[in-house]
Amino acid sequence: MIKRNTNKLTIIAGCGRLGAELANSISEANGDVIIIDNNKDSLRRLSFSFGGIAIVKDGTDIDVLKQANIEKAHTVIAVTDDENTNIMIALMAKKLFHVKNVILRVNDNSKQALYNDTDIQILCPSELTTKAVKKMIEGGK
Amino acid sequence: MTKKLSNRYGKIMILIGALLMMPVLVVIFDKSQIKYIYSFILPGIISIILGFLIMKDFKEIEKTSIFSTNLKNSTMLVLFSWFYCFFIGSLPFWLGGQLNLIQSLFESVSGYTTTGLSVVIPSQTPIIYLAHRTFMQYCGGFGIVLMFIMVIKDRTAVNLYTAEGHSDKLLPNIQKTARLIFITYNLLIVLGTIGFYLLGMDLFDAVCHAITSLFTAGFSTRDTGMIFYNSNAINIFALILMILGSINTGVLLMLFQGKFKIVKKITEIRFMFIIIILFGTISTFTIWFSSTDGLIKSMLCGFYNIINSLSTTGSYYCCIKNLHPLVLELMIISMLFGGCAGSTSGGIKLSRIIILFKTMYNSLVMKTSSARRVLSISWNTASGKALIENETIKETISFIGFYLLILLIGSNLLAITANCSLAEGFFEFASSLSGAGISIGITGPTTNILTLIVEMIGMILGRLEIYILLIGTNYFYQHVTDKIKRHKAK
Repeated sequence: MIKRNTNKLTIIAGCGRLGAELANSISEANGDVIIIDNNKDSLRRLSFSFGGIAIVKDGTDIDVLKQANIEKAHTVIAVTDDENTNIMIALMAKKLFHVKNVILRVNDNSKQALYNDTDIQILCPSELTTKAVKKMIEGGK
Repeated sequence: MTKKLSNRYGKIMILIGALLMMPVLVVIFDKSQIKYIYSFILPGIISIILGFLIMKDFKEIEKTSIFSTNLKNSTMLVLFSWFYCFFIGSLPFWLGGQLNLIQSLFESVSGYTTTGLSVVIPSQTPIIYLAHRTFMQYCGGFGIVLMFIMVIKDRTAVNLYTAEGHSDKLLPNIQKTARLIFITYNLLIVLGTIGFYLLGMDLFDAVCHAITSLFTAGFSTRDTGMIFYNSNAINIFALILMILGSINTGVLLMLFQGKFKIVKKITEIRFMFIIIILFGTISTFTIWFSSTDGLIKSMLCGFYNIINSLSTTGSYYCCIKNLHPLVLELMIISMLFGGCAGSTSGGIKLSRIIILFKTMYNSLVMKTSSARRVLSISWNTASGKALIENETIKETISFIGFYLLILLIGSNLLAITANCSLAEGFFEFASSLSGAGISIGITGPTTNILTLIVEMIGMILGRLEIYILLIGTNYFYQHVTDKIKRHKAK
């Protein structure tokens, strides 16, 4: 179904608040985007004019990732609500499919050992918030 | 979130104006046509100027966050572009003195909806108008809005795309999807043209027939259609193009990629071939037994008529009136079934028919089994096995309900206006509504105005898939009643 030579394709796993917003903004900027979520209801978060493809399947399934053309993807973003799923998708994207940019959201940095020796880019909301708050406090002085 | 955009209505008018002037290119090959070009240039230029004025002077307010406003805007734009097309496309015939106003409107509607019913006699019509007829079917086959999306970057492109009735997203980007569809079909047209040319047509006819067969449209450049060439090879090649035209664009691409194994499993494709083989065989034998034709000839006639109806092409092959009633009935059924969803063909679409049949079967099974039993309906699509949800089933069945209701009303109206038998009216209206355009002899240069109007309404309803027109009418009604209320309040 999906053509091969898509340039700068972004695959997003998890259509939560963050995933959906990312997908909407990429689609609005006329980029190529595929979003994967195993729950059909969460696709409601996508905007009415979302121009990408939404796949309602399990993102940890290799066949599903292949169907989403992960070999040709430029970026993979793992932002499901489950920590382990995120790490697994990110690792698969990096190790099996050698995707250039892999972005992983983790809330809890205790599983660092799993992805420390890879060049997966980590997005940790609590860490980011801490930094931002620190900056605010220091700026307030 | 509100944002002022330059007016899309203006842009569409410019595009349609430019497209209208395309047939003028025929002059390069045939200088004698130069006396007719004013009838294309004049409306084209006026449309472009008007479009620029509207685009510059009226800004549109686009609300992106509200569902109902979005739906309303895109519905209105799609309806506007189609009706504007019908109007503009009819002007050349009228200005050129070829047809009267209603007839030219009919020809234009029949062209853009890719129906193929015609009030023109090709042999008495200048070649530039024949090119115009073919080009209308070319634009209509793609869909005006798809062409608009392809050329112009629009943030609400997806709304327009779905509002026009396209179902698939082939690529993760809507504009690229539109371009992919455009390239695919143009490639097939080139191949089709080469094929027809090699089989003995002249170049102009080859281009026209490749376009009208692939877009399952049906206008011909000859009075007698395909019989003119008297060649089985040409007929069979046309059949192949028609089948390609009635296959979903995504599946077509998979065929190009050589994924036959997946394509073979798709329920819709299987169903289509079962119908073709079953109906084709029955009509072959019916024709064989009821006429003096040999087996090969009746086989070709039977299969041609069935595929012609199922793909809703409607090119002229043989005198329909002389066929056995059973064959006619099978043709009506195939016309109503139509091709695959997401193809260029019309009708109810096979996917809906499959859902209907599966639902019917399930409800029968449920009658004889325990009340606690749960049955679900699934089918094979291009991306694997998929469950059909209850919402989809409801929508499908109500669509079919609407379709049949319109069919009944329309065929009765047609029987009254054209003063024919109910069976003939039924055939002719089914043919208009499904976009097949096979005439049993009612539609022609001498047909009265009322009949043409009824058929036009049928064709428009069929091409735009009913709902969008109902939604549009609803908005129009609301708008008018609001105005009246405000007027009274003053």
